[in-house]
Amino acid sequence: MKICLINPKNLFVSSYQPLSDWYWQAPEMERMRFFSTGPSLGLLTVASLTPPDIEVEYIDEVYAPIDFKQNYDLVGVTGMPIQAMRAYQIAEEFRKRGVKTVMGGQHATIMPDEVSRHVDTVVCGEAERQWGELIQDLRKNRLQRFYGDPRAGTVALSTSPLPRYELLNPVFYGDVPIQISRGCSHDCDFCCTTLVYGKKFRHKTIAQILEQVETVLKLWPKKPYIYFSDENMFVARGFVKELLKKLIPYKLNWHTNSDISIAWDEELLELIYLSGGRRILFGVESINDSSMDGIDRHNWKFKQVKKYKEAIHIIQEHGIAFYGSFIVGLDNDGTDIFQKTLDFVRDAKIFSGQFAVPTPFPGTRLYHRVKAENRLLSEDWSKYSGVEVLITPKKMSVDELQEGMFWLWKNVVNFEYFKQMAEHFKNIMGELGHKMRIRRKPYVS
Amino acid sequence: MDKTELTDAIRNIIHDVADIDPAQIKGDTHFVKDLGMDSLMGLEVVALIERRYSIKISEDDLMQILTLDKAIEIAIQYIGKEKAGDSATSPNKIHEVQ
Repeated sequence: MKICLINPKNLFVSSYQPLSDWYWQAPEMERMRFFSTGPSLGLLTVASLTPPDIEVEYIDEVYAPIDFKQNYDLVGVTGMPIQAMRAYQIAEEFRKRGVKTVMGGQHATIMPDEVSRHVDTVVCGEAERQWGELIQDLRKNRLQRFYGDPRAGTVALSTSPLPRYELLNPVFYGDVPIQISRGCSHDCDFCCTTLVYGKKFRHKTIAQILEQVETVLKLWPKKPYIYFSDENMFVARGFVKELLKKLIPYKLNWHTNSDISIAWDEELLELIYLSGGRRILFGVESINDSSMDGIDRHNWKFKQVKKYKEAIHIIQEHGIAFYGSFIVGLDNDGTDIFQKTLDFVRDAKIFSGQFAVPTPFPGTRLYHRVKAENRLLSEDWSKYSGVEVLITPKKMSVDELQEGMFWLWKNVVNFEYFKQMAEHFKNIMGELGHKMRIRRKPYVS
Repeated sequence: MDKTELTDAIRNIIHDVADIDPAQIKGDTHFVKDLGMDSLMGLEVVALIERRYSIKISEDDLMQILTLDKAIEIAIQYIGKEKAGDSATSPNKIHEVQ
């Protein structure tokens, strides 16, 4: 028996051609292009959940073509909304040839009915709970239409197996994702995470995480960047501090995502640096107070806006590059938001940033609201890249938003901006690097 | 300045910062494409070269440092200027760290 697991390709950036051309051609974007297409950790986990007597092939369509003539017993596709249309095409092509198909992942969990029109079977929720039953049914040739009960709750991550990293060709991946936790309590208006993983924060054990790290280091010929692919890695402080202490001897270079609350935890910041944490993406969202009001369930982010500059300063003084993730064109943003955001980025000496427009991912509160207001411009999921204007803005035109966002990208992600920041960071890294290497010695020896 | 000593010193700095075996670092090895270093590591490497040799590399020159050969070439230029007392390019006397 043979199963093929496919991570569908979608290289769409924006229908605004100047932005799309710049993304694919600008030398400043080289690193982002290289690191933007990672493997599907979900599929590698599914591969691991598959019994060893079944052969598993993994295809990342960005890097390898799909052979539709192969006679698989099952083809599985996954993906975020932006990959959904391509996932449907792949599934339909295999179905024409009589091959059974299944789709799981974020989009399938949120839009099961739509997905079921394109595949034989839909898996909703976390694969750890569903895949064993599906395989049993596959062996008996009686696959069901749906697997997964939303009321069943989330799985204990201590039961999640080691993803099968050996199915990847290391040459393709500069960043290797390792998942520590799932779930996010912020429950932001625009985010699908809570819909897929729930609000409750759950994490793997330290032994599981170290096993993943050691596996990756053995498989990759050159030391890769580790991407701890959590929504917010630092929620369980005691646990994560213990983990970081254990990671120090591996001399990793890693990055992740967080909120700014880590700024007020000196011990944590030092452990992040000592363990090789150098870049963290922070969901700043907006520097406009009125746009932030109500953006998450507890209005936590709104209360942080005034603390942003101090937090950024503290985090970066600890040798951690602050990557700000900004959303422009929220309902209370006028056209002055672009200049204000750029001024903020420069004043705060943010190492780098990324800029998005409000994106109504299916199933989110934002999606339902703008749809009810008749402001949703497209439900072509293949355009849900984060930089395509999909909502009619309230205080500017679509063109103004598209051009203003692109203007921000060009003003921040460029060599001139980097040169301005270089002096600042050289000073920090020069001071800190030496001091921290001394602090690291007891952990390493 | 002994070029061999400078080469070894820069290799060791890269090893310290990025935990890369010095033997892997050839003259034309690209820091980003071959060694997987990022811009922040690059800045740390430059900061340590500056401190070790009491020089201050301009941001324009810093952008050129993508291989060991280029790092050596630029460091030699600045060390030469420093010795010649060119304060415009090396305004700060900085403590050595090693």
